[in-house]
Amino acid sequence: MKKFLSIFALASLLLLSKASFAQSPVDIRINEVQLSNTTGIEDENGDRCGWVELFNTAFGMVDVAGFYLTDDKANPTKYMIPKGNPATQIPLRRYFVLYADGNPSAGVFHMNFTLEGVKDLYLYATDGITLLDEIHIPAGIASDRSFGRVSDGRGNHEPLNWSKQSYRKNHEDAEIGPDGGFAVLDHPTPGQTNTTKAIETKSEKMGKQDPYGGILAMIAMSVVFLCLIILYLCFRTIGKRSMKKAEAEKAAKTAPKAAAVSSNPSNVDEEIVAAIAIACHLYQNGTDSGIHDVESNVITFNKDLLRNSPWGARNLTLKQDPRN
Amino acid sequence: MILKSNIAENLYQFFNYTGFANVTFGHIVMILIGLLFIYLAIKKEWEPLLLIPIGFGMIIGNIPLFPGMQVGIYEDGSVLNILYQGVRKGFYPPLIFLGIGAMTDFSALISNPKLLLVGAAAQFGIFAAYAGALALGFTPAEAGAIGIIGGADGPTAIFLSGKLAPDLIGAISVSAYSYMALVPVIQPPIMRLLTTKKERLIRMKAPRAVSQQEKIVFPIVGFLITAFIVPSGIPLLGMLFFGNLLKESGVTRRLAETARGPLNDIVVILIGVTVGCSTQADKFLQGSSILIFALGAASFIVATFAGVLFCKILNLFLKDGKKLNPLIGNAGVSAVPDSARVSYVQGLKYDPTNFLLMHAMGPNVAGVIGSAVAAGILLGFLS
Repeated sequence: MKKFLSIFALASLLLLSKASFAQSPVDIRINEVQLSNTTGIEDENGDRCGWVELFNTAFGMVDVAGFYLTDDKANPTKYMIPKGNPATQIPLRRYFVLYADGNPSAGVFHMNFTLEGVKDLYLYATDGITLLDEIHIPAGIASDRSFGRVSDGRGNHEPLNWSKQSYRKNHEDAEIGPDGGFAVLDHPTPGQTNTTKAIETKSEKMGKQDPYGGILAMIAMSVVFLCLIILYLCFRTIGKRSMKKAEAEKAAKTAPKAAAVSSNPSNVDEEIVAAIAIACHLYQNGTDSGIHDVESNVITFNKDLLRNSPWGARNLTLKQDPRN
Repeated sequence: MILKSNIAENLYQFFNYTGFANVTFGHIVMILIGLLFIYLAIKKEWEPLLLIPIGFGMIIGNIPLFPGMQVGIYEDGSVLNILYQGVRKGFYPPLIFLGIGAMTDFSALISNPKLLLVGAAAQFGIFAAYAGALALGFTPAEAGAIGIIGGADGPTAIFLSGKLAPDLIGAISVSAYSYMALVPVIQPPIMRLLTTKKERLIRMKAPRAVSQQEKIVFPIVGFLITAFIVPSGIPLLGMLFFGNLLKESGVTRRLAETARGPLNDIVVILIGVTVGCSTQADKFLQGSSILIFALGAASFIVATFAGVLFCKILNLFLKDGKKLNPLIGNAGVSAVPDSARVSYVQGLKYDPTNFLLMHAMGPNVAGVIGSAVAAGILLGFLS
């Protein structure tokens, strides 16, 4: 019994590991395509063209070298993904982008047909017979938009001609809906997950919420006023206290002197006495005594004609005698 | 014969590297604009500290280059590109704000704090220009960067456009500095239009003496209040108030002198030259630049309107003897000290004994705080 259980456990483990790390061509999906690209991804030459994104749905690496892509079911081997390049080994849950510029000489992963007017795209295994995936591209997709799976690798364009009902019953993605989980994507994401919601910047959000700028202007002006009103109130209070304090200090300084003067009028400051004495002396002797000179009472400002400042004046910066 | 053909080939190759082979009409136009800036700075003395570096930077940036020589301002790793990072990453403007803080005396504002409100009102120009830019089809981020021209503060304009619309930084900064230089031309007609002769003759009470303690408290309290309300404005507000604390503390004289002197001069040189260089013809000579200049002018006009009108409105609530002379309202657009000087000159025209300079400095420095707060708000909403 124990032996049986051990064999059963080992077999289960093997099966589970096989299931978990299955890596086969069937795990590759055509995840996203862009037919017209004028503002998006550039190839290694700096040119823009349509592209096809493959996605590895497995939890292990899959090599897509030798796989075929075609837009014509009658010609399944129209374009073969080149062999011998390590880039074709797609790691688990990763992406692989091929440029559809119809010019294979432009680079290693440049397809030999473009996607202009393409309605169907098929992915065949290395044998050129096994159809791995297919997508049907709706007409009229605007430039710089892409078409692909809403959720990476999920959904199918009914490659096995399932009825929608059986598809829903049998497929794990019951929520995918009648379009098979495909949609026109506003924000192409070559080499990245399609489920990434385009991050709406604060600016874009503000543009939608407040297209005329009135709300922002109102809020911002209120905040500016709020800041400066609080500052105003603070400094009005601080200013009043400061003035009161200054007045109190002044009063405290002058009070003893005033008291001293009132109690003893003869106790006058010596400097004041000296000033009064000089004034009296000048008044009594008059200007005739020659003590005080006569002022013209005219103040004149003479314009300095020298444009150089003392910094630039050589006569001020050079020594009279260079030897000293 | 082979030698001759080799020499000819090399000479031809050399010629292809020269500016003569790569020059375009746009380059010539931009070089002429740079020369005009230098002329205005030297002959008319319009903001020479800024217009000379910007003007010469324009000439540097518009010398036609053979691509790939790693010398252009937009070429990664070039010397100019490295210096330009101070503009792109926004670390020059806060350093300039440090210098502004270290050279600004807030006494006029502290002695009459209601002048802060005039500085706030003048920021309306920013948001009017923002709405105008949206109407003209700019994105909200671009509109925010353009609107800040109305704050009349070059470093703030560069800081915000570097964050919100790096592609427009050349046009925005040149527009901001041009209009700052044109403050004495733009503002007086609006001030005269909005005021009566009686209002222009209003004498304001002389500002009281402000204690050292109040001067020290101002940058600390000012920063705490503004930064808590608008944290996104910290780079500008923090450096502004920090610079002022260095000045007013009385114990960091050397640091304050460095901040307002050599450090500020170095950054002004770098910011001026690199902003000038960034106005390469292919980036600058576009329809959007003309719109930016038009919006910049509009924002200055609206800001002046708002400042003067706010003074008049405030006077309705103030008792006689405490009323404000509306001629100081224009000073709410920062442009320190040019707009305050405009108030002073206009005041003297109508009463030669009415000196408004100290009173106008209040809204003027309040405008600096207001525009930094407004920049923080725009950054918070749009970046």
